[in-house]
Formats: sequence, structure tokens, C-alpha cells
Amino acid sequence: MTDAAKPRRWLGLFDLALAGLHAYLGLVLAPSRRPFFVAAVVALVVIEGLAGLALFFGVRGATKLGRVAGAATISVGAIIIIGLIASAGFLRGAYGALGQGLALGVVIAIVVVSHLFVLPGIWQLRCLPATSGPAKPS
Amino acid sequence: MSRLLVAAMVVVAAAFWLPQWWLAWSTERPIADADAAAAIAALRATLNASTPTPPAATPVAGPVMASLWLDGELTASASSSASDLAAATSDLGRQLASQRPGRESTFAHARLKLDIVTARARFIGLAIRPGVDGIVAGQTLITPDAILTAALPPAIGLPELDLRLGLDPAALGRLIRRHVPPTDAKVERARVAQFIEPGLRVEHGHSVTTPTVDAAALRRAAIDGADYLSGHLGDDGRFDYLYYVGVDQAYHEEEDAALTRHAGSSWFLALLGPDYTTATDRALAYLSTAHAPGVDAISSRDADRAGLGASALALAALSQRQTQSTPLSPSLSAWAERLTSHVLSMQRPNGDFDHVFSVAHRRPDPVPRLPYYSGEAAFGLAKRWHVATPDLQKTIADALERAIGFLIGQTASRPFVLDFIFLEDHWTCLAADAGWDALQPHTREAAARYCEDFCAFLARAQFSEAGPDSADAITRAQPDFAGAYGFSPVMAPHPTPVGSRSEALLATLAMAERRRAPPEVIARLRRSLHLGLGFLLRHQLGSPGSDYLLAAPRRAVGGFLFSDEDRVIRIDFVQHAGAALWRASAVTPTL
Repeated sequence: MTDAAKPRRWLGLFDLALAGLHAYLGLVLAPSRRPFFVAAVVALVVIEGLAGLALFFGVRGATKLGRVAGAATISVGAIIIIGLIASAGFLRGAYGALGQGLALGVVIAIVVVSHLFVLPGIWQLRCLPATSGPAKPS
Repeated sequence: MSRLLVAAMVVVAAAFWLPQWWLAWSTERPIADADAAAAIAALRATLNASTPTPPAATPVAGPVMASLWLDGELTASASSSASDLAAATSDLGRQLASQRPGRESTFAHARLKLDIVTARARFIGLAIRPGVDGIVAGQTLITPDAILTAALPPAIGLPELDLRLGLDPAALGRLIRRHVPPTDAKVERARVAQFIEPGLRVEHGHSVTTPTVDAAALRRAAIDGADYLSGHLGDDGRFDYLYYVGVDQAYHEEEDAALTRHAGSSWFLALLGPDYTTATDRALAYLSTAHAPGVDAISSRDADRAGLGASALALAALSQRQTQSTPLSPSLSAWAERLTSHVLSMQRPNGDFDHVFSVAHRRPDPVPRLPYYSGEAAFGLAKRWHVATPDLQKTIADALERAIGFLIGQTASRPFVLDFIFLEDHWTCLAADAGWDALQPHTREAAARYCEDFCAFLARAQFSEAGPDSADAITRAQPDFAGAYGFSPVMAPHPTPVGSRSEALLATLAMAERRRAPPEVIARLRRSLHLGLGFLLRHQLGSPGSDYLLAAPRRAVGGFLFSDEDRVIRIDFVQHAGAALWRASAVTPTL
């Protein structure tokens, strides 16, 4: 394995792990009751999984696919965070003292989501090499 | 680099293991229930001046403390540092007998309690589990009861979430200084095996053994709950809103939430039928006078706004009452009609409800939002539908259809986070079940599925079966948590959520059976329900071993505490648990 292939393979494994984590979070631990959100999670998991496999095996266009997966991860995380912020505002405004407590729980969820979606996505985009190409023989 | 890595791993391992080692319990010397029962019998024989049969000479870590409790008060106590149970019992018997002269009657009526220290650990105030752990200093024992009843404020509070954890270190320090001589040995935590006469193992002031969950036990418990409420109903129709069991003191309250709970408790009494008709009518008559002049909505007389919850649950109570053969008085019947119009008038076009009626402006105020009120309004309408005239039934069915559609998120957008979690859907499920025949088939089906999801969500936070083989680490360590809902062993379980969630489970089970849901769904609902009902039976005051800390046991029987640590009964604690127990008694054979 060349020096260049090593980090790419690690990134591939990272993407596969991320796909597993997001599948668990979005489909098992905290599934949404909205079909479109479930579909979005499935799409994200598929993209991350494909990017992971592509990076691991070093196929052509793997880096591009990795970038798409990173951007998708950040986007889904950002959408969830915006939704959570709006929910915190609604709960705090609508339910008085109880709502303040619930809003606090939502703020904690925002921190968790930023660590499990946004930051891994940013990290992946930073780690991916600037150019893409076919895998070199190791 | 590798040395740095090894050093970091050592630091992490030390940070993880050292506190565990430092706080670890000493080797436990458990006490068998039979040995403790024999010791209590021997002590009673000594107090009765008859010949005691000594218990087995089981080794004890000690100290061992015997106490006598009458009407919630500690009337006598003795402590022994003997190394086995037989010697300790003999020692304790001698000490108690010496305190008996002149107090024969008290000693005869008081209940004996045995507290046996089985293990010790270093002292940290936050690690004390009230009602389970004690504190020892040398041979001085501060019992779990002393800590439980000292009304110690919590160390950590999140009032927004109604969370209270731990014990106030300053208050705990005062308690220790009161009991432990300044020169005595170091203060330690104590794991205490507790037994109340005639030999029941207790924790948190009640037995840890779950009674058999059968129809007779559930029915008896529900009736005890109704008796508690009717016994705390004054001639003026007002309930004792709060009752502090340790000091036998009751308080009234007339603010909006209290009136809502008053109406809910009236509904529970109506649910139990003719035996409680008089009490129900008295409670409803009081509510019918609780309003501002010229306004039908319930509020305190001088309030400038009336919350929807009280009117909605009063409507449910009146409607339930009208299903009985004894007719409702003309004035209450007329009020029920006016309340129906009021609740209908509070509904918004999207199916939701305004939660507050402005008394000054004589119109709904759309701004304030309060928990539960929309679900309670739907429930009130669903109960009304059953006794309404055919013309009105159509109007109510339409309103209910829109209300349920809104509550389950079918007809209006909801905050994003509510697509992942559930909040206040207990009344939603009760309303959907009560209004089943009034709803369109597609709405019924959607509501039933929604409630099944709600119950599945709740089940994730329910502590599972107790016992050494339990898959749940929390109930392996603290069996009393089984059936309760929570996310941490440091917060005492609360009976009221178990009661309201059991009500929701029963409603959901009924709907699931009507729609022929998959067997695994029905089995899951029954399992949650069975666990919760066992918890309620175990925690109802009046259950075996639960009376020794009560100042006036007869006035507290049938009640449910806020938690084992907050020893106060509020009327809605009894309403929710009682309603669940009553309805469950009718479906028990299938549980």
C-alpha cells in the first residue's frame, strides 16, 4: 500500500463507520415519524456507504464522492440543527417553565448533532486530498 | 510518542478506576428475610414478656438497630454492635424492654423495625440513596428512614424539568451533627437491610415485594384510591389538594392547575360508579360555582383568565356521571350543556384549542399555551359525545375529528423535534379511545398507530423486571425501580407518570385490539402495563409495610406520593393511578 492510499483507506473506513452510526441514529435510536426525513437519512447513509467503499477500494471518482458525502453529512446536520433551534424557540415560547426545560434538552441535542454530523463532515472535507484519481497499486 | 501514549492511557485508566476503588462497598453480609423475621418475632416476644425463640446466629456487619414506630413517629429505639444476629437481638430486646415501663400501650401498638448494616463505604453525600442507604459513624447508625423523613432539600434542582437530585450537603451535615457525637469515628455510607414487623423487607418506607397483579388487587387498589379522594373531600366540595403524610396536614388550592386536577379527580370518582355518586356530585357542585360572574368557564372567582383544562375535564366528569342511572341535578345538567358550548367555542380552525379564556374580554386569548389542555379538551368532547343528543353528537364528532387530527400531527405542522419524540400525548390516546365510535375509520387507525408509537417510545424509558437476572442494571441494583419510567438511578421513581402512562397504555391496548394490531404490538403493550401496575400496587400507601412512616395511616391509605422522597399526596396522583388501576382490573385476565 502506498503512502497516499493509506489515509484514503482510513477515510473510507471512517465513512463506512459514519454510515453505520447515522443508520443507527436515524433509523433505530431516534427515527422520525416523517417518511421524507427517513428517506433523507437512508439517502445519506447510502451516499456515505458508497463513498466509504469507493475510498477504501480507491475507485475512480472516490474523492469526489467523498466530498459529496461530507457535504451531505454537513447539510443534514445543519437542517437538523435549524429544526431543533426552531423547536427550542417554539417550546420555550409555548410552554412556559416546562418549555424552558424542554428547550434545554433540545439545546443538548443540538450539541450532540453538531458532533455527530457537522463536525465529522467538516473533518472529512478537510482530510480529503485536493485531487482525485484511480487507486495506485500498493 | 509511544511513551506519551502509554502515559495518557495510564492517566485515563487511573481516572476511571481510582474513584471506583475509593467509593467501593466493603464485602456485603446479606441478611435472609427469614432470619430477620425470626429476630423481629423474638424482639416482640421479649416486649410481651414471653419467652423469645432466638434467631440464627447469622454474622452481621452491624450495627443493628431496632425501633418502634407509631403514627409516623419513632417512639423508642436501641442499637447493638454484637457480631451476630442472635446476640444483637438479645441485646436489643434487653434495651427496649428497659424503656417499656409506663409505655406498655404504646409499645403494644407500635410496629417494630429492624435496620441492619450489611456493608460500608466511604461517605459522599450525593451518593446517598434516600430510603435505601444509611450513614454510620462507629456504632452510631442514622437510618434510611431518618434521612428520608428529614425533609432534606435536593442538592441539584432543575425546576424547569421538575428534576431534583441528591441531598443538600449542608442539611445532611446538620443531620449528621445532630446524631453523631463530635468525637465519634469517621462517617461512612451504610447499606442497610430494613425489615418491618412482621418481617417484611422494606425500602423507601414500603415493601419491596410486588403484590400479585390480579383483578381483585387492582380493583381493591382503585377503590382505596377513590376512598382516599372521597375521604379528603370537604362538605363544601373541595378536595384537600395537597396532603403531607408525615405531619398529617392538608392544604387547599384554587389556582388554574389545581382546578384542573380537581376536575380530573371528579372524573375518576364518577368513573367508579354509584358508590361515589354523592362525592362526585359534591365535587362537581363546587366546580360549578368556581367561575367569574357571567362566565361558564371554570376559574377562581377573582381570576382574570380561565384555563381550558378545568372546564374540559369537568365536562368529562359530568358526562361520565350522566352514564349512571341516578340522574344528574338539573343545574349540573344545564351547566354541562353550557360547558360543551364553551369547549367547542375554544377550538381553532386547525383543530387545536385556545388554552385560556380572557374573563375581562369575554373571548379566547390565543397567546398563552399550557401543557395538556388540548388533549384534555379532546377527551372532554369525546366523553360528551356518548351522552349528547344526536344533533349535538354530529357537531362534537366533527370537532373531535379535527382535534385528534391536530394532536397526532395529521392536519397541522408541528415543531421539528416532535417528529422524533413525544410529549404530552397521554390525553390524546385517552381521547382517541373514548371517541373511537365518533371518529372516521382513517382517523381511528392513524390515532391507534400514533398511540402505539407513543407507548413504544415510553417503553424505552421504563425500568424492566427486577431480580438478579434482570437485563436492566438499575433494577438489578434497585428492584424498586421496576415498572417506573426514568433515565437515571439517582432520581427516585415517581408514581404519577406510571399512572398516567398506564392509562395511555390501556387506551392504546383497547384501540390496538379493535384494529387487530400485530400480536407483538399487543404483547409489548401488555408487558409495559403489567410492569407499571406492579409498581403502582407496590407504591400505594396502605400496601403492606407502607404505613409505619405515616402520621395518620387511615387518612393516607389509598394515596400515592409525589415520590418516595417527596412525601406529599396531590389529588391528581391518585386520579391518574386510580383510573389506571380501575380500568386495568377489567382487562386483567388478558394481561
